[in-house]
Amino acid sequence: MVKITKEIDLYEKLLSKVKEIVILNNALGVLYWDMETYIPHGGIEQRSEELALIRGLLHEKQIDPEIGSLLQQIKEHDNFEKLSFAQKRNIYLIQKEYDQQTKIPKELVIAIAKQGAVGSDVWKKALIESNYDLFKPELIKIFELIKKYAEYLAPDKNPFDVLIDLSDPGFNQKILDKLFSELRDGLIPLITKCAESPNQPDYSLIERNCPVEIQEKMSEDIMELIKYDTNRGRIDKTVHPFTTGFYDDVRITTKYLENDFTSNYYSVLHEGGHALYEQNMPKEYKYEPIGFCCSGGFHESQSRYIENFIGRSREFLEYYFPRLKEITGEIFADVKLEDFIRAVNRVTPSKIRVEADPVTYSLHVILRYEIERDLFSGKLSFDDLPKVWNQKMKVYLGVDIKNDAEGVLQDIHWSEGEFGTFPSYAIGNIIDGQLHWKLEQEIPNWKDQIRKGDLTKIISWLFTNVHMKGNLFDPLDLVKEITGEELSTKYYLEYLKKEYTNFYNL
Amino acid sequence: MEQYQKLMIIQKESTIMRNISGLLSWDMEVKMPKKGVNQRAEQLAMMSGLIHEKTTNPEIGNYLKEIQANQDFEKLGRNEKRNVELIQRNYDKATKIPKEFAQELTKHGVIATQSWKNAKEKADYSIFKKDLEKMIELIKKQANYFDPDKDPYDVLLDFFEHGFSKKVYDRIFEEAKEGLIPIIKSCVESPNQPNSSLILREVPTEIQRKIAFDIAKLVHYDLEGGRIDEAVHPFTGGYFDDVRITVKYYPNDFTSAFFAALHESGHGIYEQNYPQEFKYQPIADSPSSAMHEGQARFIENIIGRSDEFWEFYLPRFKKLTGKIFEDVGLRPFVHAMNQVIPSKIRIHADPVTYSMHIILRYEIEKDIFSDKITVDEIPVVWNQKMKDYLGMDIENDAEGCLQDTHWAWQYFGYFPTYALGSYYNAQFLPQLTKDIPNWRDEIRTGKIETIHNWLNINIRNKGCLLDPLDMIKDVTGKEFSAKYFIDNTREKYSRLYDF
Repeated sequence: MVKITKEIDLYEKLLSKVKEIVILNNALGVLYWDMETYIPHGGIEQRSEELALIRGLLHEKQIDPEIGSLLQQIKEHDNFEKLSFAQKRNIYLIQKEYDQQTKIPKELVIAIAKQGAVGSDVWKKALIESNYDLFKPELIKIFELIKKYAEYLAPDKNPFDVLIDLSDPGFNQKILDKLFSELRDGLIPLITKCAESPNQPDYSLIERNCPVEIQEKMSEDIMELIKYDTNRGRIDKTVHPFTTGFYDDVRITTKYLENDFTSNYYSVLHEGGHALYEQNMPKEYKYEPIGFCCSGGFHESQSRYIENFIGRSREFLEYYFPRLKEITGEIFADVKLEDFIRAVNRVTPSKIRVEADPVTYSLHVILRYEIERDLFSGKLSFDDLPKVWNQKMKVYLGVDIKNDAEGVLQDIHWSEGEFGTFPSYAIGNIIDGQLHWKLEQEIPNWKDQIRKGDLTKIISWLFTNVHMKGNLFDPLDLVKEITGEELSTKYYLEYLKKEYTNFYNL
Repeated sequence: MEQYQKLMIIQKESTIMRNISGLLSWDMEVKMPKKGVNQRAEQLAMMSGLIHEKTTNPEIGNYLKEIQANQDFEKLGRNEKRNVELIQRNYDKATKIPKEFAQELTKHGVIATQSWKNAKEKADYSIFKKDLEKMIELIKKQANYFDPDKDPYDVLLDFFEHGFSKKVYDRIFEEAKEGLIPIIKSCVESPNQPNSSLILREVPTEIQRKIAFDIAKLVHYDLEGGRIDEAVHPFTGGYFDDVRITVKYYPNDFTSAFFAALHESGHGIYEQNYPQEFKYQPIADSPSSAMHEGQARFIENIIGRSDEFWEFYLPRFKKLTGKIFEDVGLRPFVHAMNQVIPSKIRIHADPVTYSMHIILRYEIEKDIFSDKITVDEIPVVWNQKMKDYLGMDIENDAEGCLQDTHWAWQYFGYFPTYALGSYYNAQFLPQLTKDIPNWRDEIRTGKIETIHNWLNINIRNKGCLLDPLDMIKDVTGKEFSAKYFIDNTREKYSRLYDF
C-alpha cells in the first residue's frame, strides 16, 4: 500500500469513513428487510422513526466535509499517481458519490421525499379509481423536482442523461436510443411470430395446484443447485420478492402461489442470481466502493442469467423436470418434458410489466424509456401521456389498453420520483446475450454440464468474469473487458431467435 | 423550559438508536445466517459507538446544569424532574466510558458469544475460556471506569439494581439460603412425590407452538405489537409497539417452551404497557432489571404454576394436545408442574431451587472479581457448589458453567437480580390480596384481566418513576425483605408436598 503521506495515510482515513457509511447502510438494510418480513403490525410507526434517524445519520456522514478535503489532498498529493488502479477507482467512485450528495440542496432532498410520499399516496388512489387525471398534477410536481435534481447534479448536461447515468453509469440517451431501437425492432417480429404460431403451449399444466410445502422443497433444491450459500443467506416470503444484503449476509425473498408454482420457482432463481452476485463480491474489496456491483443493469443481468438463460433453458429443464416430478408426486406425473419446456417458455403479449414473460418484458421497458425521454425533451406532454402509452402498447405488443389502471398507472416508480431506472432491466438482458455468447466459446460443453445439473463451471465463469470485478469498471467497459467487444444487441437477439424458434417450432 | 425540550430530543434519538441496536441483536439471535456474524458485529459496534456519542455528548451535561440551575426548575412536574434525574444518572454512567472501549466491549461480546456457542455445542469450556477471561478483564476495566474507588463487583451490582451491593445481597441471600435449604430438603424427602412423567410426554413442536401463542394471548401479551420466535436462549427484545419474545421448543419437555412463553410474555407485557405519553423518555422503563424479571416471574410462576390457573387451563390444554394428556388429573398434573427437584440447568429450574442457582452464580462472580478464584477454576468451583447446594453431579461443562450466555454478553452482576424478582413479587402479594380479595378465583375462570390491570396500575404504568426499593415501599408500605418469599414458598410447597 502506497502511503500518501508519511505521517498519516490519507487514503486509509478516507476509506475508513466510507466503511462507516457502508456499515450504516447495512444496518438500514436489516431494518428494511425486517419491515418487509417479520415486523408486527403495531411496529410500523416506530420503524419509520428508526429509518428516518438512520437516513439522517447516513446523510451527515455522506456530506462530511472531511471526505471532500481528504479527496482533494489525495488528488493533489505527489504520490497520487503511485496509487493502484483499484485505489484510483475507489477515489473516483467516492468523489462521484460525494459530489452527488453535496451538490443537492437539503431543501430539494426534503421536497422530493415529501412529494414522493404524497405522490405515491395519490397514485394508489388513482390506480384504484383508474383515473390518470387525478395523478397528473402530482406526477408533474415530482417530475419538475427530479429535473431540478438532475440539473443540480450536472448543470451542463441533459437532465435525463444524468438520471440514466445514476443507475447505469456511462449510458445515455444516444446509446440507449440505438440499443433499444435495435432491440425493439428485433423483438416485435419475433413476438408476433410466436403469437401467431399455431404451435401454442398449454399453460394450464403450470397452473395445477401445487402446495406451498412442496414448493418450499423446490426452493431448497434450486438454492443448492445454483450454489447460493445459505450459511450466508436465507429465504423468506414477501408480497414482492427482493434481494438485500452484503457479502456474508445476503437474503432473498420469494412468493408462493399455489396455482402457479413458477412464481416461486423463477423468483428463487432470479433473486438467487442477484444474491450470488452480492455473496461473491471480492473479499479484499469489502467495505470499499469497488466491492459493489457496477450498475443496475449488471445486477439485473446476473439475476436474469440464472433465471432465464439457465432456468428456462431446455438443458436445465431436461435435468430438473424429473427431479420436479419426484418432489411433486402425482401433480405433474402425466406431463411430458417437451410440453413443460414449452409452457414455461410461453411468450404472450400482456398489459402488465411485472407479469410479462422474459421476451416481451424488454418492450415494456423500452416503452417506458421512450416516454420518459420524450417527457424530458418536452416532445411529449403530460396530457398526452396515456394516449401515447396506449398507442405504443398497441404497436409494440398488440394489446388494447382499456383503462389507465392497466396502462400508464400500473407502476409506482414515477410517483416516487424514479425516472431513468427502468432501462436497467432491458440493459441486463442485452448484457446477458453477450455474456452468454462469450461463455459458450469458453465452456463449449456447457449444455452437457447443465443437463447433468452441474452448474459449477458456469457459476464460476460468472464469478471470475463478473462478480469478482466488483465495481472496478463502468458497465460498458466491463462488457468490453469480459467479451472483447462493445455492447451490442446482436447476441441477445440471436439467442432469442434460436431459442424461441426451437420452442415454438417457427 | 427550552433546555428540557432539547434534552428530550436527544433522549428520543438515543432511544431510537437503542431500538435499532435491539432489532439487530434480535435478528442476530433469531434470523441471521450463521456466517453473518462478523458483519453484524461491525454494525452493532457502530451503533454502540453512535449511542455512546449521543449519550455522552457534553451538550447533555450543559443542559442538565442549566436546567437544574434554572429558577423554573421547581416548576417542572414530577415526571419531568424524574427524567432529569435519570438522565443525570445515565450521563454520569456513560461519560465515564471511553467510546473506543465501549466499541471494543461490544465487539468482544459478539466474538465471545460465538465461541460460547461453539463451546456449549462441544461441551468444551476450553474453547470459551480465553474469550471469557478477556471479557472479565474488560468488565473489570469497565467497573473501574465507573468508579475507581469502589469495589468493581459492587459497582456492577449497583449498576443493574440501583441501591444494591454485596452487603445487601449477602444479607438477603443468607436469609434465602437459610430459609430455602430446609424447604428443599422437606420437598425432596417428602413421601408425597409428584409423578413427573405426567408432564414429560412427547408433545410435537407444532402443538407446542400453538399453545405458546394461546397462553401468551391469554395473559394479555399483545401479538399485534409483538411476535414469538425460536432462539437458543429465550429472551425478550423491543419497545412499546414492537416487543418480541422467543422460546425454545423441546418435543420431550413441553414445560420448557410453556413457561418460557409465560415468562417472556411477562417481560413483553411490561414493555407494552408503559404509558404512551412516556414514550422516548427515560421514565418509559422499568425501575430495574429485577423488577422486570419479577414481572416475568409473576406471569410464569404466580399465575402459570398455580392450582387456579390449571383449574381453568387444563381442559383447554387437553383439547389442544389431543390424546396426549387425556388421562391426566388436575391435582397430580399441577403437582408435577410444581415439582421441586434439584437440577443442573438454571432455566429449567423450579422456582424454589432457582434461587440456589442464582446464589451459586453470585458467589462465583463475587469470588472472580475479588480474585479468590481464577477463570480456570470456574468449572471445578461450579461443580462443587452444585453438589453442595443441590446435590447435583455435573458431568460436562455444557450442563455446567457453559449453560448461560450472560457472561459472553458482558452481563456480570446481573444474575443476582434474577432472584430479586421473585422476592419482590412475594412482597406484592399481600397487597394484591388486599386490593382484590378474589384474584385467585378470577384466575380459576381464566380471567386474567383484573390482575393484569392491577399490575398495570401498581407497577407497569409507573415506568421508572421510582427506584426499586422505593417502588416496593410505595406499593406495599413496607421495607424490602426476603421473608415474604420464604413464607410464601413454605406455604405453597408444604401444601403440595404435605409437610
